Amino acid sequence: MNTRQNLSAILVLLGIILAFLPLSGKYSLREKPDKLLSEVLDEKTCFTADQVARFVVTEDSTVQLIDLRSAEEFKRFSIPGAINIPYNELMALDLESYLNRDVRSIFYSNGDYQSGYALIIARGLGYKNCFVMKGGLNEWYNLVMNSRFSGETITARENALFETRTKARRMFTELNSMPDSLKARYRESKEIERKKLDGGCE
Amino acid sequence: MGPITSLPGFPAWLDLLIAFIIGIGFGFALEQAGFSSSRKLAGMFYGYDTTVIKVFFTAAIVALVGSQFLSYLGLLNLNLVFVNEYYVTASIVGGVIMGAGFIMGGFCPGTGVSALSIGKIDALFYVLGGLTGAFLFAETYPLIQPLANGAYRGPVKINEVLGLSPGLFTLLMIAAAVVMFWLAELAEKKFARPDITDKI
Amino acid sequence: MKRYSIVLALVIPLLVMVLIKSFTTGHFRSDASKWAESSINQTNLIMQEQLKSLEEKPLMVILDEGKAIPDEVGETVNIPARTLLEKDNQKKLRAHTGSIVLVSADPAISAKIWMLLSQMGYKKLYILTDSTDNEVLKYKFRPDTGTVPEL
Repeated sequence: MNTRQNLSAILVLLGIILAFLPLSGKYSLREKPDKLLSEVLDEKTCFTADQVARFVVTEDSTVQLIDLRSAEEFKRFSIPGAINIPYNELMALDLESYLNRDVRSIFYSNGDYQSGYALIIARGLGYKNCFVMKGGLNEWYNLVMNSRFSGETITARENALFETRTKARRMFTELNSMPDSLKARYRESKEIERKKLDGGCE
Repeated sequence: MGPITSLPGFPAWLDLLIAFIIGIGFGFALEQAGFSSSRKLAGMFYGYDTTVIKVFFTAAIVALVGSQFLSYLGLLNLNLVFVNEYYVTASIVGGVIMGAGFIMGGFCPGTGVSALSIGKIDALFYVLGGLTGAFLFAETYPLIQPLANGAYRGPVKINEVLGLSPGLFTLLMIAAAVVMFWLAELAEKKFARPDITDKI
Repeated sequence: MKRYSIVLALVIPLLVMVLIKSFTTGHFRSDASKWAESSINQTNLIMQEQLKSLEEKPLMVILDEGKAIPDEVGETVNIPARTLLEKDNQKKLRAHTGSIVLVSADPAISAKIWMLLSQMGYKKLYILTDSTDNEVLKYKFRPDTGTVPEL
């Protein structure tokens, strides 16, 4: 068979095979399951509420908090510095611009479920710089917001912890007590700062 | 998992080197298909030489089939591959301008450069004309911006608009190509111009 | 045959690769959002009392290491999360035809394992949850309108 017929036959046959394949435009997880499993079970993918409080207090720019709750809940209050990606919209978004960056993304929700789901999806898609806050906002409230100093003496380490918690509590209360308009402006200014650091153009 | 340029730590110079090598390959493919001859290119419009559509369409289909297979076998992440954005007005207007230039000059941008590289003087003027056009576009951009950015549809894929799976769409494209090439062969017989040859 | 040698030489290896890829399990399925759907509307959570209403006897999978076996509604196995993807454990999971219920003391582990297994193609997968909903905030925020921060 001459070249032309060969080429046509090859392409037609390959086309027929392709027509049967379940190729979809929608994405799927790329990582290998066993690798992903050991990653997410590793403690390094989990930050405690205290560690997150420390990031908040020091305004650590290498960390980006992602709030997975609904837009309404986010509007009412959120951890200072967090951006909002409601969990039910997570998969519909192009996560590339949110997650494929040099900063570490820390997911949190009210509890552990949604952040756990999001972690598997994000890391499964290949975004390695993703983590969760253990216990979510319930744990944040428990440890940070409601922390009280009791007893007579306190070790240096406990003192540092308590200080961080108190500062974080203050920042949290201040930000979330602002009326909505000011809150929106505050968040916008933080967003612009972040973009400037990134070097993005907008 | 490709595209290789998206791998972490991929050096930018390697990116450019690969582009350079691919460019050389492209020029080679154009030249050996005979596209440095403006008679061959203009023949597409007059019907006596339909090589252009065969080469470009075959290239597109090979790329389509290849990328689908790589995606299925997990070697290429198609979500990271750039999809051209669709501006309706600009596509139509630009297409008309380019078509007119193509048939008048007998070259298109890529083939113009490959013809220039073998020393054709008309290709030199063609390329200069193209650069002048680009210069004028940049200088008048504030005026033509609404035209250039009008009717933006985003990165559209035909199979998504039609609601077909990519594989099925590929098969339809291949079938369409086979039909088109057969029609092209018929046209060549009908509009044959034996007086026009590529022989210099 | 020889006439078609080039055609076959290209098409057959590709066909073989495609068939191998289609029929191996142990990797993630395509279209991630489809497999994650029941996590969005929370239909993947199930409580102890609802276990009886499942059609077939469920397979209770204890994800923690060496936990005591709770009282049985269905079959119970202990598969520590780390060993979940081992061949024998995967065989056990895939062999069970009814629902599979994940049990763990740590809700984070249940959630991660649920999503991992769902993306591998497991349907009828549930997380056993106690009555207090994990994703409901248990505290009330008390705003302090006295202080005015600097912007």
